[in-house]
Amino acid sequence: MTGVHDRWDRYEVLQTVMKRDVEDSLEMSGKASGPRDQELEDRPVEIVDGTAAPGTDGQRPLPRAASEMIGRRLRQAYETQLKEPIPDRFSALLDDLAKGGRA
Amino acid sequence: MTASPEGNDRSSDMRADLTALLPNLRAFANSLTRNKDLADDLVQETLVKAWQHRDQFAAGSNLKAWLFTILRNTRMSHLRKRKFEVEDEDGEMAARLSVAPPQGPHMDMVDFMKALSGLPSDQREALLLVGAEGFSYEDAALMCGCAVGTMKSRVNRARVRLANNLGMANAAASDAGAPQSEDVVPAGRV
Repeated sequence: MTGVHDRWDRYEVLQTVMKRDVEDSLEMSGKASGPRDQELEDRPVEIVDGTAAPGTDGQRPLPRAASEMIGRRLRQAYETQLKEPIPDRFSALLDDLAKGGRA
Repeated sequence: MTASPEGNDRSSDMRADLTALLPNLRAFANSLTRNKDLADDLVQETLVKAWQHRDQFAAGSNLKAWLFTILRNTRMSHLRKRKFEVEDEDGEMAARLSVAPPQGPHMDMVDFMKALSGLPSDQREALLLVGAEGFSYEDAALMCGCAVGTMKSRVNRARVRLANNLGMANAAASDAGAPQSEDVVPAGRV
């Protein structure tokens, strides 16, 4: 059961970060993605150099496709690390802690 | 002193929760330190501290965020004491680790990890917390002791720097067709 829950948790995290990648991309490029952004977009915006959106520290926005690619690569790399076997030392440590060995 | 059954249950729950979060703690520590031995030492220290201060953890709140905060603070403490990791706030190391772009969107995972490792510490940390672990900007900012806007800026800078170092920005622009002026990210402007 734990494995199923873990997978579901990871699925939810994946959904969250993928959604945020898109939202960030839209936000950083100055395009509206929702009611809050639309509200912000309706405000007069001071254009500094004609390319940078507010909140980007003067950087030009990253293209949405690039932002999503970065997100995918990051999650792939991180997933690989998440799947690495846990060394026995941690199980022993937790046993020790539970018995009051280091508390 | 004999432990109460309730106390045993709590310990058992805590042990199970810590075990479930071990992969995340190790992945985060590995990505931060770029050294497996150091990362495992950091995780071990985090577990011990969390256990010793488990009475300070409010049941029902975010255990993962609490553990990540302990791990992060422990690492910062190590950095201050031992200086065993070279910080790269100006991104000089990152610039030297730049990867040639011809590999396009199918570049090797090793190159990605190398580029990730080359990010300044605060940006790498921000990207991992928000982009990989799925923490909200608010939670990540709280964990790192900075403003939400600062966290957003760090994540954005990290993405732009990675994209530039890996040649993704230009690849993405060409994949999407003719680049428009707002879709072009100039190299070196990070």
